[in-house]
Amino acid sequence: MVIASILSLTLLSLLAPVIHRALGRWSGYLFAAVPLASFAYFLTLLPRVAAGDPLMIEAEWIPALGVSIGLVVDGLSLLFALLITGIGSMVLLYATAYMRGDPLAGRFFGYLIGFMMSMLGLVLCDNLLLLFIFWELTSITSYLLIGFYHNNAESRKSALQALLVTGIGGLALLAGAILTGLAGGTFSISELAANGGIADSPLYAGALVCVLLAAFTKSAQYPFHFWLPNAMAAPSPVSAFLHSSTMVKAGVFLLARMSPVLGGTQSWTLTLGIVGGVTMVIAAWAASRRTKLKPILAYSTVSSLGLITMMIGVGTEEALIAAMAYLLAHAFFKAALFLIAGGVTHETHEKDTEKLGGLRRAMPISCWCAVIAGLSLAGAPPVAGFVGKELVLKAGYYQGGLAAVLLMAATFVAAALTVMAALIVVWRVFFTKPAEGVEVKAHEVPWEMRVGPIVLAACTIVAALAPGLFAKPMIESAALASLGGAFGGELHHPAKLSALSMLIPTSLSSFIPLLLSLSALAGGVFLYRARNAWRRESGFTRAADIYRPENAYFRLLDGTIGFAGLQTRILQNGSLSAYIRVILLALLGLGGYTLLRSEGLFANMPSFTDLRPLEAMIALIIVICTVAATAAPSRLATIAILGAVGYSVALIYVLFGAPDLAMTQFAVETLSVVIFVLVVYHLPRFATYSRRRVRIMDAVVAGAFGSFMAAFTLAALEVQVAPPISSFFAENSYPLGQGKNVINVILVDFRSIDTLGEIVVLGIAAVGVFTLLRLRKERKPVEGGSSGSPPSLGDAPLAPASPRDAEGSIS
Amino acid sequence: MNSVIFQTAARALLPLLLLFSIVILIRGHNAPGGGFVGGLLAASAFTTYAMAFGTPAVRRMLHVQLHMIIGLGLLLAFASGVPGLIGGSFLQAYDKWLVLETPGLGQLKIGTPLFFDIGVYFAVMGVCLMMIFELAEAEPERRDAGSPEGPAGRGGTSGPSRKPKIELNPGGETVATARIELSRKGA
Repeated sequence: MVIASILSLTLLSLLAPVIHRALGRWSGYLFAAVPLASFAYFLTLLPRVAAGDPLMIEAEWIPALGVSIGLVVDGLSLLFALLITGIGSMVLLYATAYMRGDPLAGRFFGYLIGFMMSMLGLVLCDNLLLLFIFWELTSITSYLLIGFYHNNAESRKSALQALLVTGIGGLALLAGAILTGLAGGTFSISELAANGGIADSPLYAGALVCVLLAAFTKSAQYPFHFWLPNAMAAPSPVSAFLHSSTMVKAGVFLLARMSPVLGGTQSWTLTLGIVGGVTMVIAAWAASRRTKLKPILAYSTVSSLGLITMMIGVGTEEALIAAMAYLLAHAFFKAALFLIAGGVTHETHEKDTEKLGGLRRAMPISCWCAVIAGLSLAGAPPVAGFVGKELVLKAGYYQGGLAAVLLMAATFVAAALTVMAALIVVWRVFFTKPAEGVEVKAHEVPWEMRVGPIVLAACTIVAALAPGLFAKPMIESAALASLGGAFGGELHHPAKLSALSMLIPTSLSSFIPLLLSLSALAGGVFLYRARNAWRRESGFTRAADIYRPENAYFRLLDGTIGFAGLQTRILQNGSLSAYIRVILLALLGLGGYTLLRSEGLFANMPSFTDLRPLEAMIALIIVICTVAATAAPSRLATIAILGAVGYSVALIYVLFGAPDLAMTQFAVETLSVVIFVLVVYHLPRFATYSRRRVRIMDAVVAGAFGSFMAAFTLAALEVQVAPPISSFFAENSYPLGQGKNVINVILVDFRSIDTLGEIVVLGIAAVGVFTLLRLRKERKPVEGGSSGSPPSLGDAPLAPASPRDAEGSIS
Repeated sequence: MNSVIFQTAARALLPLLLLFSIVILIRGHNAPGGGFVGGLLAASAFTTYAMAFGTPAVRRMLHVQLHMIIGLGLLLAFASGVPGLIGGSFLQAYDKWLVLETPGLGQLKIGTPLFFDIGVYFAVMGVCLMMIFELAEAEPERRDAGSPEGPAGRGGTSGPSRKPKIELNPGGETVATARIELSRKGA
């Protein structure tokens, strides 16, 4: 069933454009129904997983590389799977209305469902290499979705930026996965965790750096955070799904997943704690200074991700429960807010919060959903966000000492700024008057766009007031899995997850967090009232703008392109003879060096005494022809002479009993001459362009290379790296391959996949020739011709007498 | 090529060479030959015919476009690997679906390797013909700017009034003759 849910999404993703064309506006309901069915299935697994009995599915895939299709449904993956399928089906339903009338809607659904599949695979898989594949798939589908409005340059640029930043992380993940696998002796994450992690291995540092780089780029941690706000170029359903509730959480998921394997060390705790904390504060500050809806939400998402990262870094039981609780709460309220923001923009065509206002009457349902989600974002009681923030503060308090002060101070600052952001997004847009001279006309959004916010708002309340219903088992089993105790472990301090119990402090450890929460709320309200002063430019903000990490990204991008241009100008300057010179000299240098360093290669030179006269004659012909080819007065002569060389080589094959080779060589040589003659026709006048000095240099290079090849061939006779495989082929050709011609059996049976690759390459080469020549034709202006067909056909060799013939037969 | 002898020979050679290429293809499993050589031979056969009668004559004769032939070859080769997936791996051979005793060719084993080889045959033939025909039909680059002689004489009417091809010769070399020889034929 787990595999079926992934496969069904894969199939649906590929067929989405076709289905959309066939069913039209009804297709969206089908798209939403499929992940909903998966959601229902995953929900039935919740009691079982909460009881400490995860589901394992194992199948071999590439046994030689240790890659198996291992899937695991433990608390952590179940939490994510439920979010992905649940929010996913709501987002698809929302998109049905949001994308209505868009001619590319079918493709949009295909991308979105494809992303959902990748994300589901990512959270369910147990193998590090498989995880890497799904990780990359999420990057690619995200690229396609961010760049969905591909006729917009800004949108393309943002998509590329997201792809490059997360792509670098993806490569780091591959390296990290391999290092972890080498250190731990297995690629199965559950086995690695069961073996107690790899903190003692010498490879630990490398693996840690790579995995953290992957997680930080994906989850938009400082200094890689800049791609996420830019990714808001995507349609709103995408922002709601990818860039708040799922994809950006892949990095956090990776950290939680790898926490039993890599966590627990000081470097883990410090790196995650500092990076997470810094990200949280900086992003909250950035969010508070924006005025457009989606960028505010995007920066506050970055801030929340920083908070979760910080908590995973702390790594205690309380911290992981807090991380999971906040993650769940964040998925609810941020997805809801993005969906509502999309609805507001959809109805008013306005993104600036300072111009919007008073939408409460026009969009009452959206408004009240936004209020609940906004309360949760602000961390105000009695909703899920409040519970999450309380738990975070409490986990910080339990750390004691300096750590507690730092954690709680950072959380407090970020919380106050986030309260301000929540007020901008909800209070400003729905309750205040619009700006002077701006008339906001809006209606309530269609029902498909209301379902998501309503359900998410309801979840936000239920999770806080009745945690036992679904929130508590999800959070606790996820925290348990991140602690490495998915299989039969248990929590020592089960937290109270009810919002009401938190409002009545019973001890200092619950009183201080409550006090901080309430002061953050008051601070946020104060900041909101002073927002114009807060947003004013100052020396500090200008400096922050100059030294923002995004500039480094642009410099790196420009530098890379500049370097590529430089090396292209040097190495690929368009002169064919320069290319050949570079290739020959490189081979000569590297090969010659190896040849000179090896010893005893020429100990047993073959004796030339048993040379037959016929062989000597052919050799002589080849030498004479080669010399003549360099001195030939015209290209046609050169081609003919080279043909003679080719035929002579084929004769050598005949003499040494290789009829297959000889036959092929004859045929190839014949056709090459024909092709050469045709190519020559297109070349400029034959003339000596290069100076004498260059020609002499070329002769030296050619002579040296020829000598090198001769020496290399002689040396190759003496070197035997591995036992020859030819005897195996000769012996098994008939018994295994049912053929007496060994060469052919190798080509079509033993090594048929090589042959398949070769003919594919041939086909690509032919397509290359075709396009190059046809494109060249299209560049030419059509002169005098009344018809639109290429004017050239009649002018070429082998061409028809009448151009009409050509038109009838070619394309 | 406006040579009656060559045209007559080409007409006779085409079926013979094609037949030969098929023999080479089929006997390849047990004797020198195979799809690759067979494909090259078939390409040579059609090229010979094109030299005598022009490329459009061959294109008409083939009925399908050349990239379809390449695609067919690749598809056949790829498809021949699929049966191997049942109880084995991709491209694992099933040799003996049917063993035929044929006159002249000896034992002929119908199985996936044969289909693979046929795929190679078509792919190689299509690739060679496409390269040769495209090069043959391409218009030469003009180097002497200002004399637009590309589609000379194309103005609405038809070909026969066109000037001799020597003028279009870019190099002033022997190629000129060769090219004329290859190209002209009153179809």
